[in-house]
Amino acid sequence: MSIQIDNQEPGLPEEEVRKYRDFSRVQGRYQKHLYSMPRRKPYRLKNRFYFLFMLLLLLLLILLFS
Amino acid sequence: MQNQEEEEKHIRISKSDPRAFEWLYNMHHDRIFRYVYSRVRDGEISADITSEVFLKALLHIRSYEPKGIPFAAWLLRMATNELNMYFRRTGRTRYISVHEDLRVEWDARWDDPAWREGLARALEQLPPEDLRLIEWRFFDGIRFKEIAELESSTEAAVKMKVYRILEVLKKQLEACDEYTDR
Repeated sequence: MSIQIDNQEPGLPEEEVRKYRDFSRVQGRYQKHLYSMPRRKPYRLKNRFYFLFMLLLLLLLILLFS
Repeated sequence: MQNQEEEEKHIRISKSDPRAFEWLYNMHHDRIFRYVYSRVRDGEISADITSEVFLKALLHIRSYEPKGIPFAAWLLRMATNELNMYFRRTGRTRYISVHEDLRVEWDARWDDPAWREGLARALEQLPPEDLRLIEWRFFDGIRFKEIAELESSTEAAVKMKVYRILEVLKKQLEACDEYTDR
């Protein structure tokens, strides 16, 4: 990164700044961000059942071999 | 005072309804845009970085607590981080301009382009966190009290750190002067 020091501050007219004041830019990015978010997995509940099933299976195996 | 209450109200609403964020955007856009523009010197790029700052603020507004640092300072800190990322990514020139406070505080050859060039090279050697402090205080004219809020530190600690960095810079410049005088 290189730095350049100016002797004077850049004067930017009020109208020029106002021209760039546009909330739709932020809104657009926000929407894009929301769509790019990974959706919650629909089979989350199934996973829970799978975990319980495996646990029961393990208990059964322990009972069987004890 | 009334504005501050309005701001707090909109921050509270924005946490559950992003549409309320527009009020905060309109309130703070110009300051953040000018800050970014003073470094980048390009309208479109500044608008892009400013939008990214406000997007991040909107995404993280749930974690913002008005009891901590002021909202404007919170945005400024985000803008600084965003600018650092931009310059690291693109390798473009970072512009800074001499603020009146620095002229008063540090009597130097500000009108000499070669001397300013030397200072720029010395600033390039600073770690990002030190450069940030010097920029805020002397190139943006932000008061020590505000910097302390931005840094979540005390005013005295910030002052001490800034003057220590200034001493380092002065020594570097003197060494550079001696070398060129030979």
